[in-house]
Amino acid sequence: MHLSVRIIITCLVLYGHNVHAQSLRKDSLPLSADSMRVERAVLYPFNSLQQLLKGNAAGVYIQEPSAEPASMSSIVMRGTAVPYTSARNNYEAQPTVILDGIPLIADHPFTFDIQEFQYNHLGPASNVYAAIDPNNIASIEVLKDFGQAAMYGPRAANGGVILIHTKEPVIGKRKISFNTYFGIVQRPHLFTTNAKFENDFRQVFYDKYATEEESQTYPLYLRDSTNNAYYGPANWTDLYFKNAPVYGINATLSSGTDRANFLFAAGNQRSANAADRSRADRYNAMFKINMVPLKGFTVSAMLSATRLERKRNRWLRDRFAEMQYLPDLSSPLPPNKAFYGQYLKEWDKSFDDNKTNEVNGYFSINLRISDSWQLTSLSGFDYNEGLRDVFYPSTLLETVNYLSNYFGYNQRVFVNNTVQFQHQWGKHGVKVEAGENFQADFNRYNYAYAYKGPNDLIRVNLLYSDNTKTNYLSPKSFNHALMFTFLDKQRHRLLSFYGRMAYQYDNRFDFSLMMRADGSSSAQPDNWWFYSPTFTAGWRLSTTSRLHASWGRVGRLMPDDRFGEGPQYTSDLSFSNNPVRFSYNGFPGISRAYSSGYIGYGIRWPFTDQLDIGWNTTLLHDRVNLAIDVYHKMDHNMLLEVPFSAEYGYAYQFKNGMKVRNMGVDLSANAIIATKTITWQPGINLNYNRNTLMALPGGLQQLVVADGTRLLKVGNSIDQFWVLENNGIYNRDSDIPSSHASGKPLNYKGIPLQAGDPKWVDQNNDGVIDDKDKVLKGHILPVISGGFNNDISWKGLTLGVNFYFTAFRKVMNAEMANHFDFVNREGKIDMSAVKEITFWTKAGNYDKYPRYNPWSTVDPYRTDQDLFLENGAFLKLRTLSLSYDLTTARWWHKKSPVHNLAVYATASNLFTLTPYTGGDPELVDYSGFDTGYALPFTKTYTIGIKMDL
Amino acid sequence: MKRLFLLLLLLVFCSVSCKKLLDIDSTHAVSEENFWNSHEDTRTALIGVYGLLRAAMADNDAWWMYGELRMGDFQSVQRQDLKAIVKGNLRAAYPLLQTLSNWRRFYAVINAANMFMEHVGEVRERDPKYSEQNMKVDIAQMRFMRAYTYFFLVSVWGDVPLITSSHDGEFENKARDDKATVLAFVEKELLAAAPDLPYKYSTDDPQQLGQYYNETSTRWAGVLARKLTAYAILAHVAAYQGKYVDASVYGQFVLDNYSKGGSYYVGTDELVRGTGFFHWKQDNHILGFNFDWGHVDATFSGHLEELTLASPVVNKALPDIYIPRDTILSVFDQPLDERFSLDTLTGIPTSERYFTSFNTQIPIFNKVKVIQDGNTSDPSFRIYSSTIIITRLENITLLQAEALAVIGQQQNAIDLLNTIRDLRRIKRYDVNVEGDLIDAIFRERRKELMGEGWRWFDLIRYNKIKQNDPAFMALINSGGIYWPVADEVMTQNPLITQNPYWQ
Repeated sequence: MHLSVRIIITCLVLYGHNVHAQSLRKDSLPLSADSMRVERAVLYPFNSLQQLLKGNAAGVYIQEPSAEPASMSSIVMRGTAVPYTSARNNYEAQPTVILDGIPLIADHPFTFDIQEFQYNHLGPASNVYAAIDPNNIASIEVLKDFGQAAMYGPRAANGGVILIHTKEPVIGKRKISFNTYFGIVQRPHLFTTNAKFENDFRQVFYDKYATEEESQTYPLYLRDSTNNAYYGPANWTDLYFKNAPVYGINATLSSGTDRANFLFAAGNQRSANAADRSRADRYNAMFKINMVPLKGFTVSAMLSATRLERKRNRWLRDRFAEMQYLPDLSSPLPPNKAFYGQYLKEWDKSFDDNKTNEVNGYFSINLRISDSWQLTSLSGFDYNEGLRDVFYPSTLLETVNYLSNYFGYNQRVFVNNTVQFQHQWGKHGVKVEAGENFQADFNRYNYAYAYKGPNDLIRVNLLYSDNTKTNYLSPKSFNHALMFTFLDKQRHRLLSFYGRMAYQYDNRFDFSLMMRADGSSSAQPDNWWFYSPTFTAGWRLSTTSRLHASWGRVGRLMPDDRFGEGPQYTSDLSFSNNPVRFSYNGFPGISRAYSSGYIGYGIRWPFTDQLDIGWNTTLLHDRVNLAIDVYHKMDHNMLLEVPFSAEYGYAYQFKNGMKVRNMGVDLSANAIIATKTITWQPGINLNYNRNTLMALPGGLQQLVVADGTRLLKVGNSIDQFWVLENNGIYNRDSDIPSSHASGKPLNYKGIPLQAGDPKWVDQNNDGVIDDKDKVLKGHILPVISGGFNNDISWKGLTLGVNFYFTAFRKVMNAEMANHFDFVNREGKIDMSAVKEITFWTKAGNYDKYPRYNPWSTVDPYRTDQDLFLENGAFLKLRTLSLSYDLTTARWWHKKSPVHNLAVYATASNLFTLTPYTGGDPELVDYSGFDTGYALPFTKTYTIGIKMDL
Repeated sequence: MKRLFLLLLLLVFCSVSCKKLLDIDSTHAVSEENFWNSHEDTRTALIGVYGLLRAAMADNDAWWMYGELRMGDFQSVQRQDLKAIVKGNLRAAYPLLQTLSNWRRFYAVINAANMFMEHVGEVRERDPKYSEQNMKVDIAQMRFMRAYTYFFLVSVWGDVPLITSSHDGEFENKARDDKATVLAFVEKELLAAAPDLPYKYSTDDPQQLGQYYNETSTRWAGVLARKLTAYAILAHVAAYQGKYVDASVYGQFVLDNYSKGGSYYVGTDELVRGTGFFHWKQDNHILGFNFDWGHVDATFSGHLEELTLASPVVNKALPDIYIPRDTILSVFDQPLDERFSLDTLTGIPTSERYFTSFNTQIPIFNKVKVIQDGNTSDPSFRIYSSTIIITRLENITLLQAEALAVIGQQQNAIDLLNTIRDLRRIKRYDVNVEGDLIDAIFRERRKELMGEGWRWFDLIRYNKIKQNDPAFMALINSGGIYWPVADEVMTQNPLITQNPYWQ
């Protein structure tokens, strides 16, 4: 009762509406900071929303961990408050994408619960935003300041929301548009190596340090120099890299009157990477209608469907991770084409089908009762499902074949009702809006896998389907003891009410106030509701210049429905290498959630406050459009798993109280510089962001997270590397200093250092190198990132040159570290011992690293030292395009029904300038590690034609 | 105005139903109010405790890491982290050692057992099907599980915090308690649990009438703690403390009553067969944690086979650990030993039950080899279903021989030693040939229990009896026989201090 009273009061007092006080924008100029038009972007063979956004919007940083088409990539808006300590964090930190008012639902990371290796989400692991066809997009708007974004409540918690506006039907005429391109991705050239190279590399260490016993376990594949598989020519790249075709086609038909109109669009796109014959195919269709059956009464609907099919990479790692089983790893893939080809031939007997289907749509009714009153009801859904069917034949893995099937879906339905009132009394304008929103999410997956089928011809796990027999649902040919099945569900509901009131005086001053109440089913029952206000104010200095400020608060949703349960019981019988034990003696066993963390009562909503002050203006006779926003974003009360009381069995406790600040500037500027014949339109967008950890739960000053690899320390950033400072090598035992205090020689956590060990800086001078001597260095996320885009037009020709850059960012060259750490990566059956075919390449300069004793128990080539930490700044010429508008040609029939016809050519991923010595500095995982597990950005060339009639 | 009113009505209606909209239960976590309601919940919780201890023992093959490797017979082939454990270099910078230094998983067992005992009364009240006797036997098992876990904690870390209630929601840091205090608690608890435990389940034992949780005795064979289990562990606890008089009393109980629990002396062939003693679950497992093949419980790790087997037994080039030939020859020095013996003339093994590929540089220890379902010689898939055997009848017999030898009952001790020697078809003990009886008993233990996770703990007891190895005595006296405590344990609980030896 208490609840409803408060909401009524909220409705009565606070409901209002914003006055859309946007600055005037010159049509000839590209849209400002937070908006991008897509008509130029559709020329390029981009295959996801992330690629469209990359380098195009200030404050939106795109982190692609691999250039594999349609694979997962992440968006970071205005820094992050999530510390990215696990693969799950990556999902929790993503901003919401809203397609024509439909908040899109993405994969939920709960499949990681049953995955021992968390490199990929289970199933097709496709990027759901790769399902959007750029040709259907009219514009993309990035709402970062809470003055606008708080309308979306908790969906805006990760830095704001991204609005996609699809194209609207035309009114009063018929329009048909085509866009098609064809192109090729070009295979890159690498410096390949063979066993001789590797042998020479290792021999140095063996000569210097190896004992006789250690020499005896020298790997077999390097021992026999007559073995052509390893010692023969290293020409595997001939099979690994292939030039591959890419293409795209889209047709849009639109027609109608002002009472009824429609748009229909269909498209197909193939994206490819030259590496490992990976590719993605997208088929999509969209249908949109608007009807005005009565004056003031508008009905609109949209329905869009996409199918995405992926051919994924063939990393051994990903295959073993899918199987959760590793074979003997003593003989890696050979670098010689003839032998590598035999392996690929066996691969061809496997299948790995990855499909994603996505359907979404909305239905909206707008009732304009009078000039002052209108009612809008928008309801819609988003559904995407992923299917993956895998079969690996027995010839690929020691006569053990493997089969798995995944079917998972994410479903969201929502209803959004608003009532608006607006009125103008002389110079006083008032808008009041009240709304309610209900959103129900459901994520679910079924997953089953089986090992050791009877032969390679049976590739489907059939079950007995007669439910009257005792063998109902038992497998027909697979051994049921080697068959594992899983099912999990995740539900979430969000119910919101809001009211907004805006006042405008004389078209010069405006302010607004919004109050909202959000109820989440994942919050605990005594804490379902979160109330938050937002204020905005604006001052129009002149017709082209406006100052605006906003302060707002939005809640952050709990990442899992189990937070709502309080202290809870779950299955916790798993252990290393066996993540999916739920039973003992064939009975399910449950206990408190010891490994996954204690959740007590009193978990409260985390929330974000953001202050944003901005200035939009045009300068120099409207030739320059400038937008600057300064923001101060504070995430309060964030949940963090804090290690606690091992003596009560728990690994962690989830606690509120982490506080993270992101402060920075978004700047974007566009200009037109024109002579009589040439027009140059440069545009720059840039984000500067500083991230600071303000507090940890329970007043902690620092906390070691991510299995001991990262440190969160109050006053520092949450995205820093935590490393020992490396200062060379101890060449002689006599070089090793002794502690002044104890007189003992310097040691690493009790292990005395010896000749051949690294010289690590003993920061606290206590004579022991340990975690206290690790320092926080560098940032995983760039402090500065942005894009520099240019369009140069001459007559009908337009040249587009687009750069993408980041600065003040570090990368851990883990691939290099792994190469040196060969001693710990042989003779094990363990992911660290897996050598991909790309093991046979050389990237970077081996000579710049000291020759440590790799057998030393201090693990000298560890990644938690700054030896492998490098500057990851880069500047890329990302895309280049040349288009010619034929309609501007002198010979063009002005009366032709074709009123737009352009031919174009593009080139992508042309070059990268970087001090980084490894591979591509852009391709790192969420922890800033370049592990070498990324397909490279390959050069892509296309030619295309675009036509409107 | 009328329309606004309508809208308000709509909102009021909605806010009344808000509770309905937002109140949904998670499908992968059970809240406190939905648990502890029926006998199904107690079974699930009881199984959970066993499963947690299995997980703790199987995690990184902990049972063998703590008990078998250090200064034992096994050597690491290539793995640096295992080399460090064998050498006793337990602070080496490898993730494995850091994980093994953390006692959390064992305390999870203790917390779960404490939770069970605190809440089981609620189920008794709420579910009439949950009988008084069922509750009694469940509680006895939980007391056993908690006590055994504490015993193992003390064996590995020495002084550990003694926590006997769940402190749910009000967790307070506790310092380490003296190991003597903890072991006194262990002994008290085991003695209290023993009378309530049956010899077997679902066999109308007076302590447990009728079908236990509606399942037959086959389903429960060797799975749960029984009377013999309690006495066997009591014998181990007493021997660990050097209280050999007590140990002999507890051990005698096992030796007098083992047939009631379905135990028997295992022949050598049965011991090493894939479908033999280590196979699945059996009444003869006095304490063991099984991985039930038939119920999709077999696993890739958590078995000795993961470390010891390699080609030609399974597809793996080299094992992780092996026993060098010299060690094998010096340990198995008796002719015609069914476990392993060498014909000294030909140099060819006469029996190879414990080892295969003896004549290679790296012999394979294949005493335990329950590959897949155990009934196969197919090397292709390294999934195992062997049971983690904590103790068995032969172990208790030799322990009893040790106890009797120490307290001076030489002849009884020799008889027990000879029971095992007869079983393995080697000559009976002759003081003139083999010398000291204690030495002979420990030699026999070394052979019989090879690869079963006892070597290190045997070495400690042996040296405590003999006191003739100054280096080892120094290790015992300085606390070096215990594992260091993981850094993260000390960070989160400042009252925990590092073992002085590892500081």
